[in-house]
Amino acid sequence: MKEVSISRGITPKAVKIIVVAVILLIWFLVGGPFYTVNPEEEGVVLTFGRHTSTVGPGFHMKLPWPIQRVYTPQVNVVQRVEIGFRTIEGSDPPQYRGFDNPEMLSEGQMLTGDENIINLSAIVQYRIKDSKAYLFNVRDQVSTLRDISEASIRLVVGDNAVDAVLTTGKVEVADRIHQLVQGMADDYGLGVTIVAVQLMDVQPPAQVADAFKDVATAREDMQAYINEAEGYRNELLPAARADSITRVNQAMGYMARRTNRARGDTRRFTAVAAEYARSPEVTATRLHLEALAAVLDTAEVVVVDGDAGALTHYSLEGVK
Amino acid sequence: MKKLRVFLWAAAVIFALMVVFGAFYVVTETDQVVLLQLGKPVKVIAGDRNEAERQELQAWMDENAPGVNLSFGAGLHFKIPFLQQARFLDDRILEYDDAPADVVTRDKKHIQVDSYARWRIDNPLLFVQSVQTVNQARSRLDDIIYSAIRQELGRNDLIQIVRSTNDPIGLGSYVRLVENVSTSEPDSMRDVRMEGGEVIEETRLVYIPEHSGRLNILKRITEQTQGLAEQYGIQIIDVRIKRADLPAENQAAVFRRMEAERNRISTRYRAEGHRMSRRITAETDLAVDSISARADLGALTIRGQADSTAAAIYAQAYETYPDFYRFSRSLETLQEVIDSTSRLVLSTEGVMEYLRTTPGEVR
Repeated sequence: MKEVSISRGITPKAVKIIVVAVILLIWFLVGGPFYTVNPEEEGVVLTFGRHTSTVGPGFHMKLPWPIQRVYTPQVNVVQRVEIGFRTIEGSDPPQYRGFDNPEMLSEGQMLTGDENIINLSAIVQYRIKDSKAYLFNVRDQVSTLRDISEASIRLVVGDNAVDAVLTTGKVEVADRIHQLVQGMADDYGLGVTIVAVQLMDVQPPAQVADAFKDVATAREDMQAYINEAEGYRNELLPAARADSITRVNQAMGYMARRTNRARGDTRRFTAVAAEYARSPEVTATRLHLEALAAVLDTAEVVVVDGDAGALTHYSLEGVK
Repeated sequence: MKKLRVFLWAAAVIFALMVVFGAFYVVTETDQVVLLQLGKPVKVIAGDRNEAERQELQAWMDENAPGVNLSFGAGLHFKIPFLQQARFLDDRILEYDDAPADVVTRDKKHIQVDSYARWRIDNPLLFVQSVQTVNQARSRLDDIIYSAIRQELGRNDLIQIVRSTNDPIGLGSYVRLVENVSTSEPDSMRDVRMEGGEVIEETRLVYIPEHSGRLNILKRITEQTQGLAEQYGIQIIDVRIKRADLPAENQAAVFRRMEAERNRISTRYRAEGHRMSRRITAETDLAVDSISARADLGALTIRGQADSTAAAIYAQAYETYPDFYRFSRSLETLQEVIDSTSRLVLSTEGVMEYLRTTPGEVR
């Protein structure tokens, strides 16, 4: 009686129809004949497990499961593998787990070719270039790519000096890793194109970071010493040149003075001499007396009586 | 009675479905199948592969399992329900990731080696006969790869495992430092000891023999393991070292060495700076001195010229009137010698006499 009350108004036939309809609907939605391929995707169609066609983005029809199945890998999206760090999912702005995490440290820490140790984090960006190969050739594609990347990075870093990896050779190292990863991926038939390999943080381990920093400081110190010396040079050399010019010019001045003085002196001499030649006696007397007058005027004069001899004399100082 | 009829119907439908679904199986692009009939292989559907590999597998089948049907590639297949059973195997490249192992190198250094391998099921029938499942295959690979790596790495020095070529790796800052200086100053090349165009000093460059280096070592390990894995129907594609790092206790020593090395470089930089600085200073001093000396030379030459010109001028004039020159010069000398500090002691007669006798006489 209870059953009847629940299904009142609904005949058993209707129940059957509804059940069938629901099953059909699920079948339609999950395995049914319609599917869409998003713009960044490619539809890889398998008929009885065999790859039969690859379709582009859009709305498509297929035979229902289990006859046909469709995979839609994202072929136009550049994806990435992070080595030595991880972006924390869902964080915005992005936050990272870095070398302070022991797991990341062991992933990013490696030996260089001169048996030094460095920490390195990198990104390997890739895109699916052959969706069929990507889907069917390798299981665990992403972890394979990660393994390849780690192996390549260590191979290249292991073949370079610590300084090359840290500074000058960074681009080369990244290029070499890029080639290696691509090569290995092709060997496996992974069906991906490596878009880029970027070295992110490349740094000496914390234990020796100070010593490395000191090298940079030392390099600056060196430059400072050199600059200081160059400053000294730049100050002294022009001063010396200026001094040299001054001295030569002073000498030129001396020359002008000396020769002109000589000319002046001789002109005066010649003039007086000419005078003397005309009337020698008078001129000589005059000159003589003038000179005496000048001398006696300037000097202190002590006059002694001629009879008293040279031993006694009076100082006229103060009298005069 | 009615209930029984419904039950029988349902059983019949389920049975029919089981027969239908049991009779067909889909082999996708990622699968290989070994069809067993009461546990005995009757059919092998291997993954798609190139012609040479097909023939190789076919030849093996002909020899070792005659009568077992071999086909390739994905598709829909038929089997006898209940009686036959399809064993699915992966056709893709599979991963094998080794647990990190402590390995001792030939130069008695310990390293933590984390390796991986990529492999695939090459011969499905042999695989099913010898190892059955992928998990079992992994444990076989463990044995093979682990011992191969230990053995091969133990025959090489650490540096040969780390490096893969003999390419010069440079000396880092030290060389660059000297190179930078050398571009402006050829002299400083002496600071680097070079032989045959290669920098020798402080390199610690280790020669990696032809057959060694990480790539060669891995190649050998791969070849060796390939031979051993064949018996399980497994093809090892490659074995690679993911990480080869020093254990923590050895790292400390490396860090100490790195620190010492860096300090050496720092010291070098500073010393180089001092050297350059002193050199520039000395050069400056020298330049200043020589400029000053040249200036002295020039100035003195000019002064000398001035003096000689003046002397010539005087001489020319005095030669014309030698007598008067002597007279006037003596008067001048008199005036120059006697100044306000001089004290003249004269006798009364002397003054008068002097005044009297002088007129007109040139002495």
